[in-house]
Amino acid sequence: MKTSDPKAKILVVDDDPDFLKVVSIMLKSGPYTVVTAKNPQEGKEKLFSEKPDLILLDIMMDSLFDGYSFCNDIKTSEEYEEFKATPVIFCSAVKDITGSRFNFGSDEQGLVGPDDYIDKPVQSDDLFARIEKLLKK
Amino acid sequence: MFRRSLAVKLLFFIAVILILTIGIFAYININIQKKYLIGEMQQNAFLLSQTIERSIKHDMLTARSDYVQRTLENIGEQEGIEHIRIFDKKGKIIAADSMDEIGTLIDMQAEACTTCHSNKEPLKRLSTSDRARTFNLENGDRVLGIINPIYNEPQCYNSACHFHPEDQNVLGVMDILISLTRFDEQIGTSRKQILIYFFFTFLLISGGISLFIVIFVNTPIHKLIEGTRRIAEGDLDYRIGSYHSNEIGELGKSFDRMTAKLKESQEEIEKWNLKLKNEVKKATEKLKKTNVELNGANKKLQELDNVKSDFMRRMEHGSRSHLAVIQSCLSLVLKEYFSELNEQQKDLVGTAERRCSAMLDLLDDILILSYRKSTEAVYHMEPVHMRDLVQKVVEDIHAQAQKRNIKIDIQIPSDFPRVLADPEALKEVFSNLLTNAVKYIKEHGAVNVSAKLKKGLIEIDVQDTGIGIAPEDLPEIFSEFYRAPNAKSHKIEGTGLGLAIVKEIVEAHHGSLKVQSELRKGSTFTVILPKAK
Repeated sequence: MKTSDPKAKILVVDDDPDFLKVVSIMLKSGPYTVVTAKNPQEGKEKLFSEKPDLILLDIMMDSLFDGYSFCNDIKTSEEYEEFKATPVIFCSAVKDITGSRFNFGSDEQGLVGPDDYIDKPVQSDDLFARIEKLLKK
Repeated sequence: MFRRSLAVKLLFFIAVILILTIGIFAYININIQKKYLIGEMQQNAFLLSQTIERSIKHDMLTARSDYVQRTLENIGEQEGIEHIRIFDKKGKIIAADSMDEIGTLIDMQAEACTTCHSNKEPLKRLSTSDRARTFNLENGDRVLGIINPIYNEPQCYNSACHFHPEDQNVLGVMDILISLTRFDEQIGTSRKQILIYFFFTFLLISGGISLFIVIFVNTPIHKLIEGTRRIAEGDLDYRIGSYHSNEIGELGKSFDRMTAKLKESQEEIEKWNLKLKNEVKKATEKLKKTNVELNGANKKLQELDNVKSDFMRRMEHGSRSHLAVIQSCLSLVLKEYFSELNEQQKDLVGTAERRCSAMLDLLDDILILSYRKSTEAVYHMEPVHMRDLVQKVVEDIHAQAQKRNIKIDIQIPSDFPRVLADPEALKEVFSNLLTNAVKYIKEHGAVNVSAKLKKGLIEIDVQDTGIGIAPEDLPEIFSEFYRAPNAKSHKIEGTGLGLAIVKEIVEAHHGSLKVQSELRKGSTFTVILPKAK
């Protein structure tokens, strides 16, 4: 797989350490370097310190809204001005089609949503394809 | 009001009839009486003149005119006799009750004489009424005059005096005038009496009829009118009370009976009304109570629903988070990223991964179905291009189909009319149908997706060359968790919820589903949806 040179840096924010572990292995098996964060607070710190190329963000962490508000902040807040263009992929165990996620639909809340969605469990092929698509932009 | 009263009209009518009949009767009666009395008078006068003629006959024959004169004077003094005169043939008075007139000649053309002397040849005999005449004297008294011709007799022309020749027929005429003063007085009295009689009769008859009308007609009718008025005002206790034994009395009785019946009915209605009101009141109270309870229950249900939704979300999140990690771990191991596995290890890890995926599918289907069946389900209806939608779904399962050598052909023209649907929900429908179509083809088969317009609805066929469904299984395939025996015997995995989800979503679109199938030949699922305007 041809990618940007050097390897793209992916920031994964998720409160599930096991998921962080698995997804790190998965990404490292591909042409990526990985930075992880256990919550949005740590994610913010890592964002500023590591300046990733792409963010893989869990929707539901401590609060049901964590993912949404963090994404919205990155996309709109002046504080995150330099990361405005950084692609965000929502990665959630709550599927859209079950209606659960719909209740927090970004449009209805007036929040700016992510660039893409991916359901858990993630398949490496699928994940890599989506990441590449966004990085090429 | 008074003028229009029936009684007044009746009285007026009766009065007119009475005046007319009694008046005519009185008039006729007076006239008859008058005529009769005049007749009597004439007869009497004629008899008187005959008597005088007889009493003076002898004196005349013996030519004792002084005797004649005295007799006439005596008779003439009698009350009521105005005048007695005897004329000879030439109109000369030869004897009278007063001496002064004797010898005077009267005009033959005078009224009294014309009866006979109007013609050239004098008449010889006259009837009593023809001989009589009434006229007014110069002093104004009304008198009855009667002339009596004195005929020639053998005694006359054979008399010694030889005064009358034999061939003379009428010798002279006796004229008697009788005063009608008394007669007129009597007629006047009689008329007065008849008028008085008439007046009293009129009074009696009209009074009697008035009394009758007032007692038997007017009063009861006014009572009836009063009764109807009172009843119209709602006073059903009013009764006419006293009745005469006649038609109006019967009417009054009927009226009272009717009023009594009305009152009974009204009381009955009021009773029912009250009962009804009480029932309604009770029912309303019950309803109010139920409503309060329902509101409470509803609130509780809503709370429960929120709790449920929250629970489902957390359960979904929790379960899938675990399964996702397990699945990812297993797939990483299976990809031999770290080290190679032996066949047994590969089989075991592969089985675990497969079952983990099945578990995730089941979880997905349960959650999808429960969401589609819940009141929370939202459908954003919009016109959808079926070709594009099916294309997207096919892309998702492309790898799976290719792996098993199955060709998926979409035969929907790009300009085919759009359906009115929620695109996400419809994607779920075709995802299920196409996954099934691919899944139930053993290998080397084809799936055809075509569309047609029928009666303003759009029908989309998903046709496969799979294992087919037995006719006895067809009615059950949309039931939750149902799996056809041949699907199980072919060891094809499934949750048994896919078609239930399809049915739920299609029905939410006011659409319908059809299935045609033959064992070992294949199945065709038809989704019928409304066309977008």
